[in-house]
Amino acid sequence: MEENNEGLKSEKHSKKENKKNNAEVLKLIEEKNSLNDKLLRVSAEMQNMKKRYEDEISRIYKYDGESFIKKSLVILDNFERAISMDDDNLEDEVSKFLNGFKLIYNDFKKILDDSGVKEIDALNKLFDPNMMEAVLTENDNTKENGVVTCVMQKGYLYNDKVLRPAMVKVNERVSE
Amino acid sequence: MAKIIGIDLGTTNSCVAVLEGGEAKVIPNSEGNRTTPSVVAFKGDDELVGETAKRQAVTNVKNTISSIKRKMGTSERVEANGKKYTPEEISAKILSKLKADAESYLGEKVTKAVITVPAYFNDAERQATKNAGKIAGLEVERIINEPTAAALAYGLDKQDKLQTILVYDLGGGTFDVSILELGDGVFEVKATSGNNRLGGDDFDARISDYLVSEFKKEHGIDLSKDKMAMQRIKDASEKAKKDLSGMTNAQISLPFLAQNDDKEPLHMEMTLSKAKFEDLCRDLFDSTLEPVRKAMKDAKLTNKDIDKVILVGGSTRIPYIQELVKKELGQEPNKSVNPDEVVAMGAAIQGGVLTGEVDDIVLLDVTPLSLGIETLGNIMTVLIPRNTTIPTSKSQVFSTAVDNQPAVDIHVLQGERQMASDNKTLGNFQLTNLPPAKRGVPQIEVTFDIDANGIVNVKAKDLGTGKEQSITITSSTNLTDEEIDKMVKEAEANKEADEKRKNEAEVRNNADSMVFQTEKAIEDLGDKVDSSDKEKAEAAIKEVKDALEGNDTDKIKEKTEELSKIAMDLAAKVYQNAKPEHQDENTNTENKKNDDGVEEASFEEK
Repeated sequence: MEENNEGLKSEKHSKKENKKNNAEVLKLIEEKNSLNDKLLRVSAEMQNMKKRYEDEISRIYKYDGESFIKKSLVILDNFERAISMDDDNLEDEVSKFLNGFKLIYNDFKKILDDSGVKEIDALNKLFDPNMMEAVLTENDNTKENGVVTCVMQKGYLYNDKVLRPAMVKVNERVSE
Repeated sequence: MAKIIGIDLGTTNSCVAVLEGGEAKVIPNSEGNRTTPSVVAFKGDDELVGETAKRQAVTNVKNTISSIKRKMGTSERVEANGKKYTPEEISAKILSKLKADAESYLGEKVTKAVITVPAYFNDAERQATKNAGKIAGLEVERIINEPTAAALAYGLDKQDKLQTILVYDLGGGTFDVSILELGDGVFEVKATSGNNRLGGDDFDARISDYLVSEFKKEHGIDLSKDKMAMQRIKDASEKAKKDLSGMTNAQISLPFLAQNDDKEPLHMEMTLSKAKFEDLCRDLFDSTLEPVRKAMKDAKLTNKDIDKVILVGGSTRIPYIQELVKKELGQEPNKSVNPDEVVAMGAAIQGGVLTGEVDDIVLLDVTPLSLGIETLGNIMTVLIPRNTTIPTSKSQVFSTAVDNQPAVDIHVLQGERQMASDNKTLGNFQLTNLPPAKRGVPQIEVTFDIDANGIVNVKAKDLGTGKEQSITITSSTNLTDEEIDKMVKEAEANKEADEKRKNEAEVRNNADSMVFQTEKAIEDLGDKVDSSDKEKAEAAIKEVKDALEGNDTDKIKEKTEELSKIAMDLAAKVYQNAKPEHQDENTNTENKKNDDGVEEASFEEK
């Protein structure tokens, strides 16, 4: 009888123990799962970040030197302004001088060309705000509505990215 | 977990950011810019937002809408394309563009956002902003105040004590002052003031006007009617203003700006000094003080009650403004975060708090000081540089310095100085019983491993025999912040002297190794060397050895160079003579090549 009681007691005890152990195991499993989940998330985030940064770096490489080229466009503009002063009469001093300018200008333009810088073709084209910036309008009813009538400052693309939009005058027909 | 983006929906420009790896990152738009003009335009069936809308504004005035933020919360409608739009609908188009840019950057759908509004926005204005988000397909998780976002970006919510913060926000077209009280992570707005028609554009205009009047004075030509010239002047003015934040003079150079009556070209060539710029705009700058004083008065505060001052908005880069704020409030303002982006970044951080991402971030420590070992000539060779995020591990292979060296001492060091003896010793151990070998032959791999608790384990392994020895250092992070700071500063201060000493040690090491290489070459080549060449080399060796006895680094260097030249000549001669013979051997004795000195020569370069 006594022994039996003892046995029951210990059985009860071990049941209690088991229950406690089970709870602990469950807790550990839960903890493990949550840690695992966290690890996966962190790893995924890291991989995603890596991809984003790789994309960004390749973009940076593609447009390498962009800010330098952008700044140097001013020189190109100024050469053009100087050359446009020429009256095409090659006799006078100014023209001879400007001829030298033209040579330098062409050299410079070639360097930009070779680096992937392209002029935006805007004149007589339909105004496109993706590549052009309108600064003036004109009302010429002989021309199409929304057509660029004058390029005031040339725009440039650098490997298909707008380096500087073309500054243009756009026609707005006055409705009769 | 989907990301919550943070949006600074501004009057002139907007910005979007997201929390990435625990830090707020600004997302560039599809044009590659970090802020997007808050401009919307309608053209036929097309809707344009941002840069493109701004560019076509002149040709499409009636259907281009800017500064819609000023109308938020009113029942006013804007008309465009023959339709009437609520301010919410227009703002929604800006938000949609920012959302699309964020999606393209993140590569996933974005549905949730935190949007900022000025602290003075009332309920109707806040509700309207929320609605705009809804129309754009964004669940607005929270609307927060712009100054609060700025404070979050500066991490001011992490302080324990109650603080009062003044935010001075001078943007492109609006000026706001806000005073916040922050305690227990709750922000309370104590007062706001400002001028919603003052900003960077006004300063540009002042410069432009000045340039036009100067040009008129000089050439008698009024440029203000010449729209092309005015556009160039406007751009140049903005650039000059920006330049003057970092320089005392800005060069304004606009060649071929106009022509005179004789059709001669006229150029604008001017220098705008910082002092002149400040003169031109002083009244505008100083006018920002009145709202500051009003806010202080409304909040019933004096200078000493303000714990922190934060600068927001691109115009706060102007040195005069920074000085003005500093003088008025008697303290150095915080300006380390990009003032154009700080609000969006704060919103992104709030987004991260809401997703739980901020809590979830495992705070990883960094090594406060560099860890390394001592190498030949008392040099500290760093394996793990300071500020490396831990846990981490790194290995490097070293070799012996003398022939038949029986053991290597691994002296583990911590610090930023270049000479081993100036750094802190963390531990010492020996890897013994190396088999006899020429110097440079044994390969000893030293591995540093730091766990997340900063416990460093250093292991040295002889790759030849597989024998290894290690040490565990638990005290590497026992230094206080002050001690670390002191060590870093000391290294800074002694940088030049240390560099010199390290250089000296390297010169000696090079000389020593050159002597060794040449002696070995003579020995290996044996009778292939002409006896006069051999004598010449031996004499040169002696000179280097003599120089090494003394302390004249330049002399050691010079003698080493002489020796290296002689050694090279010697080797070249030998190979020239041996050439025909060698060519025959080339095909069948790949291995032998390793023994005949060619590889040794390249080893020396290591």
